[in-house]
Amino acid sequence: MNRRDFMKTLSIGAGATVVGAEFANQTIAALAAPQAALDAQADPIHRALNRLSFGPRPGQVEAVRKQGLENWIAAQLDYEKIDNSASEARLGNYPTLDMTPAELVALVGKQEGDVVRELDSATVLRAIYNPRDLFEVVTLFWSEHFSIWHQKESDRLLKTLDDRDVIRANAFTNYRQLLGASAKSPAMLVYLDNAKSDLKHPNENYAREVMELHTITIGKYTETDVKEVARCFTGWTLYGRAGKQPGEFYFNPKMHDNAAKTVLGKVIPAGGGQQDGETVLDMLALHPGTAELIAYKLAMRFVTDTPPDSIVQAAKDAFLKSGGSHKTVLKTIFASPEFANAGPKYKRPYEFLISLFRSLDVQIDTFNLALLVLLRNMGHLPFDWITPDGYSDYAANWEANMLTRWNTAINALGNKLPGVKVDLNKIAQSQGVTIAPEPVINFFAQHIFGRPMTQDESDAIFGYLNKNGKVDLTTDAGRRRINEAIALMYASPAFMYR
Amino acid sequence: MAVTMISRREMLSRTAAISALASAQLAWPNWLPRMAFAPQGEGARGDVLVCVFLRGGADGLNIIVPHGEEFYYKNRPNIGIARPDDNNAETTNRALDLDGFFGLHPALAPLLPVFKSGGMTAVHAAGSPDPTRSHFEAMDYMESGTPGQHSLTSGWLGRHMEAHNNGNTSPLRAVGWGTALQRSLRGPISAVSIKSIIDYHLSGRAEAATDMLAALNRLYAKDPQLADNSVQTQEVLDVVSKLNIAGYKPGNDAVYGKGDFDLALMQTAALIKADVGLEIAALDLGGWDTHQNEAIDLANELTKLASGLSAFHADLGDMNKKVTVVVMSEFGRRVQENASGGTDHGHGNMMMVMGGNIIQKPVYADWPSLAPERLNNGDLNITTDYRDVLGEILINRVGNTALDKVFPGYTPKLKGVALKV
Repeated sequence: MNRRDFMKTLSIGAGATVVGAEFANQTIAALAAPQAALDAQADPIHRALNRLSFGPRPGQVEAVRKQGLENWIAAQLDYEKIDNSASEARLGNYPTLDMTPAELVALVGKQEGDVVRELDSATVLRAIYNPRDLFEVVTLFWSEHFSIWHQKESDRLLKTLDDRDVIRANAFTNYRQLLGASAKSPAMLVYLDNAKSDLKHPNENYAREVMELHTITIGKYTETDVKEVARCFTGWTLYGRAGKQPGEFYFNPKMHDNAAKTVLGKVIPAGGGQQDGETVLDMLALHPGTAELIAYKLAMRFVTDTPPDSIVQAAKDAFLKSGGSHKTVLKTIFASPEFANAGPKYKRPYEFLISLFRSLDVQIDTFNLALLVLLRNMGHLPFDWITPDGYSDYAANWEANMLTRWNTAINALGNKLPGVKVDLNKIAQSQGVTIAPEPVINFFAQHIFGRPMTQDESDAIFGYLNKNGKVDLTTDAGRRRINEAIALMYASPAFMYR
Repeated sequence: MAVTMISRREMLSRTAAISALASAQLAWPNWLPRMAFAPQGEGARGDVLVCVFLRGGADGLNIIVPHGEEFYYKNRPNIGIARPDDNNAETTNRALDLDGFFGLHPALAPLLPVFKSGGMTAVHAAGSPDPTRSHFEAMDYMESGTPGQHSLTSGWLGRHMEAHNNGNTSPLRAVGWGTALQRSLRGPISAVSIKSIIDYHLSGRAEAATDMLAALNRLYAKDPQLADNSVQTQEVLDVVSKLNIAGYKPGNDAVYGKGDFDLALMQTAALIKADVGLEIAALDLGGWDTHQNEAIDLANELTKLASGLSAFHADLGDMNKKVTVVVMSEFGRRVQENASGGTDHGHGNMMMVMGGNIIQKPVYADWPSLAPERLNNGDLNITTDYRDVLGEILINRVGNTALDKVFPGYTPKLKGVALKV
């Protein structure tokens, strides 16, 4: 099996699919005609915001156009200068987010559910409201790449540390730093069982996945390498509740296999202690196989499900030349012709929901857990994927669950999503739209689709709107009707793509 | 009051004596399979095939326990399941004997009667021949039906549906229970992914549904990627609106648990009895990757498995003759336990087959033994390719003999596990 074939098997998990030549050609040909033509009319800033953020808020496309897209991207990469205090203030009721490892570990058996819910809720709220738009998108990417299942034992508590101190802290640093933080992450040590790995019985789980999923991928290492890497990481563990620094990483020399090892052909001499594992991470972080994996996955996320070699090579080169700098690789992708000419990409459920909320500028005063249940029903609740491959990035895996999206759009517009308030009047007024059927619908078309409606779309929407005679927005029935018509726009194919 | 699902065939053969309840529920959508109208005695329809995938590499050696094998206990001093007659072990921790050599993990006790009465069998030392110990690769190989190759995007069930051209255009011909369609079901014929049939209706004002669906139909008609999904969603909505799955009462006082797995099986039974053209149901059970804490975790998963399957079996009653359930996992686990009270990824595994027309032995195994020289890199060897089991079911029970399309490059060996009537 060659490299390229394996690349296509990324993110398999339950129900996943491989996009081989068979399907790719089908998809590309299928997209050639109507959708691509529609796409040509779409506003490039609208498309860019759909990729570089979770979706444009009302007025955001115009604001970015005024600022200039390149300037906006530069500002987003310089994320620490963006004031996010207002969006962070929404998380004031989530004290566990800022807890120390010891404080979190003290909650074992007591408030584990609360800790899980606070992190889940905060994640969704930040995705909606954080003005550091690109930061949130990139955070999701790394979070799914170093995927950890929330419900594995103490990960219910420890994932909060991982999200803050590993993923978010390193969204825009470099790969060796992120990889190192993940390898020492108490949540990862528990999730992939390295915490219990010792010289008598080394546990292979982390050793395998760090190579297969996080770095060089299948075909670049042998089963013997897995065993040797496991030996290198013996002793990488964390303090328990009764330990010196509860919930924190430490290297336990008594658990470590100190004999010599050979990993990927390199001899690691005896007596290395913790350095054995560091050496392995050094070897893996900037390996060309890793560069290609990260390049490929980022190109998938930002450009297309089947990235052409050209963009993968460009991103890979940028990775290697910059020592794995996340910003450099991202800048390379964003500046590429492939990104500029990218065709539509099917939204995964989380992306659909967040883009819906941002587009509608929803008001959420108190986050309602029903939204987490909804995400779980859509199959895309953060940190809820059981296996380390994380949620798939292939459209083909997500297309079958159409009804939930239609219902979510209908419920959102009908103000039936618990805790989520939608005020179309407020949007219309803030954007200077006359409250009359055609101006409102046309405004939403440009806002939702980034282009005017096609004849078919227009017939369908106005057909519904005026089904019982020309809609009268001064009546309750009329206002309900236009809400439903707009819900149909959010449920239509064009909003399913980004 | 129980809601009885009456088959269309039964309805055809009655004249005036059609219950008002049934005729109020069942209209006649125009996709009804021709078979339903076939005169009495014409070609029987194949079994409904239910595929259960245990995700994570289920530990077959602790599920179908080779308690007659000394090497089993030598390799698993801590997590091995005790022999049926081991007086030093708690009764509840002993294997339930099946045939003097193999036994069931005690958590599968609800299924013991089914095994004993010939309604269920385990196939041991089975699996996919590819040596990969990666979950993701192994699942992909198993579900694509092409171990060792990643070139096909379709799944074995997807290709089976395409090859098995029986004129059934029901939108519920194949159902993947859950939130994302199983890999095995991917193919040119659309399968539908459903979390719960009971909740399957359009939100918003009931009186607006028809118009909204018409608008959606229009919006989706020209989208090459999503049009099929939209049409199928609407057809399923149409069928579901005519059934009363929420009022379904399982047969024979069967009691399902409340978890997703049980609910999926219950809804499968309801759809089977509603005779809506269901041919294939796929469902998953996760949590089998027992690298540590296996004693507890495996027992928990097996409890769920036993609960669902035993209820399903009881519920179906006579209809078990027209249903075949197959249970599989992407690989088994190492013969030797690890230091964390668990096991690491292995190779050979067990499969299970449940139905009314199967081999009358509780375990079928061309057993290679667990002697060190007979192992595959420390793992149980495979003497029955999983495609032999699936292929035989397709030929003998479902009625599809075009297996070269389903398992390209492989000719299944028929082992006499799934029987022709």
